[in-house]
Amino acid sequence: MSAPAVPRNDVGDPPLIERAQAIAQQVSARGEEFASAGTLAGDVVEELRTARLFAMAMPRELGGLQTSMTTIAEVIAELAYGDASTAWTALIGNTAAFLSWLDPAVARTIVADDRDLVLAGSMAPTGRATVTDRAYLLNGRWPFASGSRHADWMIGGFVVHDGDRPVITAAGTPEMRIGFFPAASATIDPTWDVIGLAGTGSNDIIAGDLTVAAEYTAVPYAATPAVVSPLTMLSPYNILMVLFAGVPLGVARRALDELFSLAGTKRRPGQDGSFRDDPVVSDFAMSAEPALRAARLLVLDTFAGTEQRLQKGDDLAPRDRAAVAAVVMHAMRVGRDITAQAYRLGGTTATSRTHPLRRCHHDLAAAAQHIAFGTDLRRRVGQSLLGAPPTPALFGV
Amino acid sequence: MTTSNSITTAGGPARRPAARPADPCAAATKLHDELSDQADDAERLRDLPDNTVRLLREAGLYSLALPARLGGLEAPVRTIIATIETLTHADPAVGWSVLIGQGSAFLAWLDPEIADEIVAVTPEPIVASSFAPVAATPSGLGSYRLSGRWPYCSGITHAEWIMGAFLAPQPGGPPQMRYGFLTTCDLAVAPTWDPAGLSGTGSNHIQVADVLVDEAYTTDPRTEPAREPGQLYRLPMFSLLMVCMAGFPLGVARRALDEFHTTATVKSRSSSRRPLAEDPYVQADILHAEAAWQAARAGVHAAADELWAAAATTTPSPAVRARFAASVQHAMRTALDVTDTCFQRTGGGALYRKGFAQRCWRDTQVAASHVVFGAESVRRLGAALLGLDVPSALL
Repeated sequence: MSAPAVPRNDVGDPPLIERAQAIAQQVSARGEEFASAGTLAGDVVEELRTARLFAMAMPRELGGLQTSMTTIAEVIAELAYGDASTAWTALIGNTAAFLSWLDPAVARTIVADDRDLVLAGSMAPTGRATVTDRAYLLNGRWPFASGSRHADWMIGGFVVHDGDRPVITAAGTPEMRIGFFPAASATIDPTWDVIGLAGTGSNDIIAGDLTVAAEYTAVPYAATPAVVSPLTMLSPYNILMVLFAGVPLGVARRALDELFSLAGTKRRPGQDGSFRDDPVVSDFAMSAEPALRAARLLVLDTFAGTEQRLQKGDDLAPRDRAAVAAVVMHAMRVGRDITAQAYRLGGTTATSRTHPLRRCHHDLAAAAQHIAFGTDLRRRVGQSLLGAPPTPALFGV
Repeated sequence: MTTSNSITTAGGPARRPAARPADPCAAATKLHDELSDQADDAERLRDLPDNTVRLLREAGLYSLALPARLGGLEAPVRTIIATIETLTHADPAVGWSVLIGQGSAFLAWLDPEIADEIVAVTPEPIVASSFAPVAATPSGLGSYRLSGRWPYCSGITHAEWIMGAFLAPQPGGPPQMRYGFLTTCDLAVAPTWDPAGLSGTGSNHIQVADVLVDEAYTTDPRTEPAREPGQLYRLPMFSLLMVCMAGFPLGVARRALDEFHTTATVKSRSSSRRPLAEDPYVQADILHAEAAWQAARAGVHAAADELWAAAATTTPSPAVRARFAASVQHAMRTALDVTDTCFQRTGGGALYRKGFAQRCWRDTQVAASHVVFGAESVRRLGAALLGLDVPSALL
């Protein structure tokens, strides 16, 4: 098997962050359009693809950019500054990097030479499959499949069954795998009628009696990846957290900027002076600005340090791996709080459905509901920081 | 120029006289499930459906604070609070619409003959209100001509009347705020309402273009005593407003908690496969949320009882009024926290529009953006609690 041709430019000119800024500017006022369509517009998906923003997490060996973790965070933050659904769609598309857990020869049959792959779907093991002749017969429904409307391939987590009973592994747990299948072989149930991140097309996807060859399935929770890059040396959960990091940073930055511009002009009934003169507003600015900067610098510092060690070939201690997730959880909590407060301080002006502060608040609150930030993950990450033996972080495998 | 408060032009569609409920809270409870079921429709319409308004009106629920002499319930404050709490629990947009729709209370401040005329033509009227004053010029024969915009007039499409604020010019002095009763049929509703929450309240702006209001149809409930003798009308305008508001945060937070109780026992997150109720974080959060709700509710009830007892004989003192308003502020802050806890702990499923977790969360935040819950209002009440001199009209 020969290595795939990689005809596309690498970071190129202009650099990724500038490309992200240009797209952010373009989508900044299109949030309503994406929300009412329930998905990103096709032209924006193609812009992201052309700018190679779906290929950041993919290892070079599979034709990706293998972008540094800090740049990924900054690119996603720039996109999120413009529109959170755009950023979310871009980052979920980057989970194509999970192909690294397949045999590279198989992975190369999925990635195309001339266009970056966009992946959608869910690793949540809500599907079930029975073993047939070196394949799995897969049935399942996966909610929250962001990017369902434009994905090339899909991913679905499942529990292997023997008849009606789950197959139990040597470790005593049900055998869970993920399967990759072409998007066209799944159906979409248009369930995505939501209050935030409405433009991400995170519908349910359904597989019915779908045959997935065994080599198109993997156990990423436990096995090491077949294709190695600094990023894929992290767990799939941590890869996801690296991809998420820019969302709270970018959305909260936008919310702060929106509030600050409102503060110079807005007047409140019964009050003298502008909104800026209100002590509540100045106190918020005083605390939110350093809190957001601190959260951002912590993410960038942790990512840079982690990447440096991975590039040197150091093995990361469980506590160091937990720290990668913890700083993103921190950024999400800080960003969500700041954005919610900015929305509240914006008063009735901000409660208009089309106001940017409203969109920032609902989008980031929606992002924070992702299972990766849920209580179960907080507990696991916290236990690792406390020195407990690590458990696979997502879906309890 | 139109004459808005001419009696002959007043009146909405013909309707059955309201059945007088012995207990409006029981009437609200009876309607609860039906009101809950129409929440999606109201949200889509960005207004209450006509049928919802009909049900509420037939149950007398727009007349909780209308003087009994004028055909209203003139209910004690605890009854008003409990009724709004129940309606808000059913659908926060209904609760908000009805609490704002109690503007007929202020007919108690009009000349009794004028008030009689109003309820003769429009029995148990729905009276919308706007407290952001428009401009006025005297127009001879004891009337004013009003021009400007009244923003966020909840329920305006269903109201026969609006009590709107305006700045009445005073010879040799600054203009004074007054409130005029105008029929709504001559007012232009600007379909501006497209909000993040409380969508079903139809809180559109009104363009007031050169509308005439007769001096006899105006009053200033902030500074003038009521013309009706009842205990309820010894409450100053601001206190009466806060009485109407008090049930909202209690009802919306209770609904969020009740929804969460249902979710927590049946739902598990796929990362743990155990019901939410078994999650240690959820257990701790729900304890705090439940206790916060109970405490906020007890605080509102205690302060309301103090307010009501004081009103038995006289206008309640600034300290008593400030304590009551503070309890309502605290209830709203608690509702913000409780609905956010329930929303967050529900997980990704909370995002879908079909559920109530997101509705309670969004609606509370929009309600809390009302100016009475703003930073200035909070500071004013704090100043009053600290014994500073706060203008009586704002307390």
